[in-house]
Parts: sequence; structure tokens; C-alpha cells
Amino acid sequence: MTVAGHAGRSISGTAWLQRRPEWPLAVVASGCWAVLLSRQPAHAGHIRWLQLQGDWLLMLPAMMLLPALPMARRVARNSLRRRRHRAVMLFGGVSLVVWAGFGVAAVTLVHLLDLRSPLVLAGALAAAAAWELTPAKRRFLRACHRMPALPPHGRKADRACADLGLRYGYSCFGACWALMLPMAVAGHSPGLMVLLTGIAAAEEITVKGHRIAPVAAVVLLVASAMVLVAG
Amino acid sequence: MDRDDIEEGYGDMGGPDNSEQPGSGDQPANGEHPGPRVRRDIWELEAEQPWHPITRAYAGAIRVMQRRPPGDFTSWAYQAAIHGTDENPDDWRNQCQHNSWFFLPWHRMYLYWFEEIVRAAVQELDDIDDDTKAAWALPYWNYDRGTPTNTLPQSFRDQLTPEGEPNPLFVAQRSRAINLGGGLPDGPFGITSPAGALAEPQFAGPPDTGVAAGFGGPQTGWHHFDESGFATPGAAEQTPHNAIHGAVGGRGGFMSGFDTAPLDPVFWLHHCNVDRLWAVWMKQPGRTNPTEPGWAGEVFHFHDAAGTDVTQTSDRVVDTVADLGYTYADITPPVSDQEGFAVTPSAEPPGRPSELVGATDFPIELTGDPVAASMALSAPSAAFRAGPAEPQRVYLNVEGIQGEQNPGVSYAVFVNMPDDEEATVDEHFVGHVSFFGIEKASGPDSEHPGGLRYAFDISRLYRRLKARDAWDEANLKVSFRPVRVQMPEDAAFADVGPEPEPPVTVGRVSVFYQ
Repeated sequence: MTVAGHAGRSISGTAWLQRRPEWPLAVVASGCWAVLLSRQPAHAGHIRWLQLQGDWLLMLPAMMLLPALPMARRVARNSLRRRRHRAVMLFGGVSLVVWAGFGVAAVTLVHLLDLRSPLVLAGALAAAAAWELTPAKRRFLRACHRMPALPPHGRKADRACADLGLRYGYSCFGACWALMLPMAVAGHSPGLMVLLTGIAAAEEITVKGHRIAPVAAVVLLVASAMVLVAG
Repeated sequence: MDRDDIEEGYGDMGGPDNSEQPGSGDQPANGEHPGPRVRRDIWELEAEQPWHPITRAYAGAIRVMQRRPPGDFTSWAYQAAIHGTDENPDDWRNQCQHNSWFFLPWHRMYLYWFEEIVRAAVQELDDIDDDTKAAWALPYWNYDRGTPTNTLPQSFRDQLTPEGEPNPLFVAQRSRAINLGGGLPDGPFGITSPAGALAEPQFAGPPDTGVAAGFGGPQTGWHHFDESGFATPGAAEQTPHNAIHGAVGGRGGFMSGFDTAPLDPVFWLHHCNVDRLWAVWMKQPGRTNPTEPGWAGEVFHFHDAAGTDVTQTSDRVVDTVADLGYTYADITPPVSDQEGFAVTPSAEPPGRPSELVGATDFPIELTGDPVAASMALSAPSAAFRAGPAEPQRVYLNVEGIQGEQNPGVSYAVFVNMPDDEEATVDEHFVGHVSFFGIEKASGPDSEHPGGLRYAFDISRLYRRLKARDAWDEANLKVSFRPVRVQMPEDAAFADVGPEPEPPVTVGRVSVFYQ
């Protein structure tokens, strides 16, 4: 065997989970997906602000925790075992706080100005396509992968995980805010959710994520055109 | 390009088919040169004759390549950009593979095509004899044969050639001590010895947090530097590769920087030696290269001597003679006491994942003086204790290494080094931490933020210290000792003095059990 370790061995379920200590976040994300997919999509017309915020608070973990899973795994594996779940939940929870703030502002604006229309949605998708091609997008994407050394225990460790969650959330927001703008306009739209989550996850997880940007831009422009035509 | 293309182009001799390459002149036809070409030790060449024809030819070819515009694929500047550049990276440029099991094969390919380009340029030189032109191969620098081989050969330190022209082999952007004849630190805890790397039994480490990366590097995808987010250099890349880069480059020198290293002509000789060490490693019993599709299938792009795009994969460069038409003058494994090394020399690592059991609480500043830090280790988890009572593997990680610039010095790392320096310090020696690539890994806007990370397999050291009751889980001490170029006893250097070393911060030192 030329790779030291595990090629060709069967791995028990316990060992599989041990290697993926980020599973609590995956469970949260999956649960949110299950709830959202079991509900009726949003339709044009008057929808209460509270319902919009509720949809957003479900969409956030569903869409933004999946791309964060590799980083969450690194946080967990670089923490003492007794702290792993605590570290992961701190990291994941705080990273979503940034998005929650954006969501309150964006959803409120869309609601107050009654911007829920096919034209605005098409414009948001086009804006997302344009953002994909900016140098800033690439810088934020790079910053998403920054993993500082974590203190091993105590409040210092908690603060470090929370701080990492905050910085990761900020970087992730910088990279993906334009992808979430259409969601603020469309509300609960499973098809759009799948598309945008796929783009965000591919860019975060793949080795040359920045090379996906041109393809993603084209896909978003096509989606924008389809919304215009259908609208 | 596949094996058939190479054999068709280069025939049985492994020599290039230069008949359609620019400026090739009269070429020996395929089949005229007996056997594969032989890469020789630069110090052997120097001992035969100062400014050996092979060396003169290299210098002349560099001069030719330096005159070519940067956009020319066969220019000196372009060849450097292949390794690293921030300007217009593409499928050919900014492609070097580090902290990965692609480190060795990619650099073998890189050197191969560079050598082809240099050989083509050598053919243009009027002052080089036909035998040298036919047989020219890139020399290597084996710096581990004692004085004077741990110093830079005179032909690389002379500012003028014997003809009185500016010497292409000399660059001012090096460690001043090295340019003045200072020696790379060899001997105990020196950076020239490949013994620690050669003791690694496995080529690649698994993609797992905290574990050592084997001889060649961890299993990754395409990996310029830290795309995987957890990568650490393999043993050969740690020492001597990274350490020599810093020692020769010094602070701010070409060899110290990722994007500038190939601009120093000695870069190619250094990497030739690292490539040779891969061949040496393979000569040892039980060593095998990876066969996984992930290693074999990754395609890398280069340009040949004609500037034509070529592609290669790792499985096509494992045999330098059959695949690439060259060999080394000496690939004899050195005799060494592998008992002295920290690495576990046999048996596959356990199937369970690694587990962090302790780390330092505070960052450590490396400012040029010895420094130590301590940590307490936690008891492993219940799931871990369900297996064998003792960890099968113990790893020491030095993580989050950041700094603005490579300080040009390495640090020897020790565990529980006794205060009494007369004691057997070598039993506490772990390995070296060096800082090649630190500028790429530091700062929020860097290409690969998060800092460098080194992982050492200290399983044997752990068992040795435990047997002597010298492994205290309540207080594990890790020490860093700077290892510097040996200053030349030279009036010129005495006037200048040593260069200031920019500080480096280590985020934490950690211990993983497996």
C-alpha cells in the first residue's frame, strides 16, 4: 500500500462518524431542508413579513451550512474530542448570525418596497452573475478557507471558535451575498434554493472553486432570462 | 502526451528529438548517444575541473534564456512563473505542487521540461564542445557530503565568468553568508541530511488531520499550496527541501520566496537533488510509489523545448530511465542509523482517525533565539481507549506558522529536551520547521491564508521517552533551536555581519494520538 492508512479498508459506522464530527451541522441543515421542501412554495401576493423572516431563518442553515461543513470538520478535528460538538456548534451558529442580520435587512427592504416581482428577481439573479466575476468575490472565497490555530480548551477556545465563526460568516457573506439576494426576493422557492446552494457549495468545497465562477455566472444569467420569460 | 509519444520522440536513448526546435543546429541523431543521460553532482564536476564544461554550458544556456521575452514559454522568466506567479496564472503558470503527494512528480516533470529547454539552448552555444552538448544533463547539488559540498560551488559565487563576463550563475539575491562561502548547517540537527525523510516507509500520508504526510506528501487533489486546508509537507519537502530554500535564499533572497525561487540558477540543482532523493528512496527495500487513480490521473501542463503544450501524469514519471531517459550518477541509499529517527519505520498506521490530545495555549514567537513551550495532554476519549491502551501513532504538529517573510533560518524541534545539554539531545530531536512559502500563507489576503503547518510522526520518540519515564503527559515541553548557515571566516563577511531575521509566529504546537 502506498498511501499510509485507509485505502481499501471497510470502516465502521462509528469510525465514519468519528471522521465527520461536523455531522450535527449536517443534521441541522438537513432538517431545515426537510421542513422547507415539505411546505408549499411562496406565491406572488401578500405574504406577511413574519412569514418571510421565518422562511429566511430556515433557508439560512439549509443553504449556508452545507458549504461550511468542510471548515466545520476542520474546527472539530482540531479541537479536543470533548469539545468537538461545542466547537462546531459555536462556529456554525455564530457564522449564521452574520447572515441573519443580512436577512432581516434584505427581507424587510423587499417587503416594505414590495419588490417581489419577476423583474426584480431577474435583476437579482443578473447581479449575482456579475458578482461572480469580480476580484472581490475571489478574495472573499479565499478568506473563507482561513483556519487559524485554535487554543485547546477553556474560554479562550470558545472565543476562538466564535471568532472564527464570525470571520468565516463575514467572508462567506462577502462571497455569497449576491447569491442570497434572489432568495430575499423570491422567498421560499425550492428550485432556486437547490440551484444557489449548489453553486455556493461547489465554490466552497472544490479545490479550484474560483474557476467555477464563470460557469456559475452563465447559469445565473440563464436563470435570470428564464424568470423574465416566465414572468 | 503518453508514454508512446515520449518513446517515439526520444527513441531508446531518452534524448530529445531536437530536429524541429528553434536554434537547435546540428544535433546528434537519436540512438547515437549511449544509454540515458546522467545527471552528475556539481561538486564532482567542480573537482574534475573548475567551471566544468557542463557548468559553462548551463551558464551559457541561462544567458540565452534570459534574453528571451517573458512571454516566450522557453524564457527564464516564464520558467520561473511556472512555479509561482500572481500575474496571469493559468494551466501552465503558478502550478507548482506543494504539501501534496504531487510535490515530487510535479517537480520531476518541471525539471524534465526545463532540462529539455536548457539542452536546446546549449546547442546554440559556439564555445561548447559537441560531447558536452550531446551529454548535457542538469547537475544536482548533494550538500550532504561534508565540507566543502555544503557550500555553494565557486562557479555560482563568482560574479564574473573566467572570460570576465557577468556570471549568469551568480545572483546577489541570496544569503550573504552563502555567497561568501558559508556552509549549509550539516551534522547533528543540520538541514542537509535526507536521512529522516528516507526513513519514512510510506510515500503518501492519508488526508487526515494532524497526521504526518509520509515521504512524498499527503494525499490531495490538485494542490498549489493549501487548497485542501489541512495539508502539511511530506518529509522530503520538509528537510532538506524547505530548509535549503531558506538557508540559501536568506532573508528576501530569490530562493526564499515561492514566486522567485526559480530565478536563482541553484534552484534547479537543489530540486535535482530532491528528485534524486526520490530515486534513492525507491532503492530502499519495501518502497513503492502510489498507484491510486487520484495520483496517476491528475494531468499537468508544460511546454517542451519548441514551446508546444505537453501534458504529463505522475504515473508516467516514476522511472527516470524508462520514462524520461535520464539517471543519476549516485542513487545509493546512505547508511544511517534509522533507530535514531523519530518516525516509526514499519507497519501501516491504525485505521482509526487521529485525535487531538493537547496543544499549547499561546502563540510562540520565533525571533532567532532558542525558545520552548509546554502543554498538558488530555486523556484520550473513551472511544479511543476502547482500542489498544497505547496510541499506535503519535504526531507533533506545529501549526499556524505565519510571518511576512522567510527569515532564512530553520528551527530544530525537540520534545522534552533535558536542561543538561550534555545529555543525549538527539533522542529528543523531532525534525525541522522551515518557512518556505510563508508569505503565501500569512495575512487575510494571502492566496492561502491560515499559516504553514508541519506534522511529524514522533511515535518512536514517544515510545523511547516513555520507556525511560521521560514522557510526562502533564507537562510536555517542545523546544525550538535556530539552525543557521555557518558563517564564513572571512573579513568581508565580518564587516557585514549576520542579516536580521524577521519574526515568525507559531499559532500552536499540538499533539495527536492515533
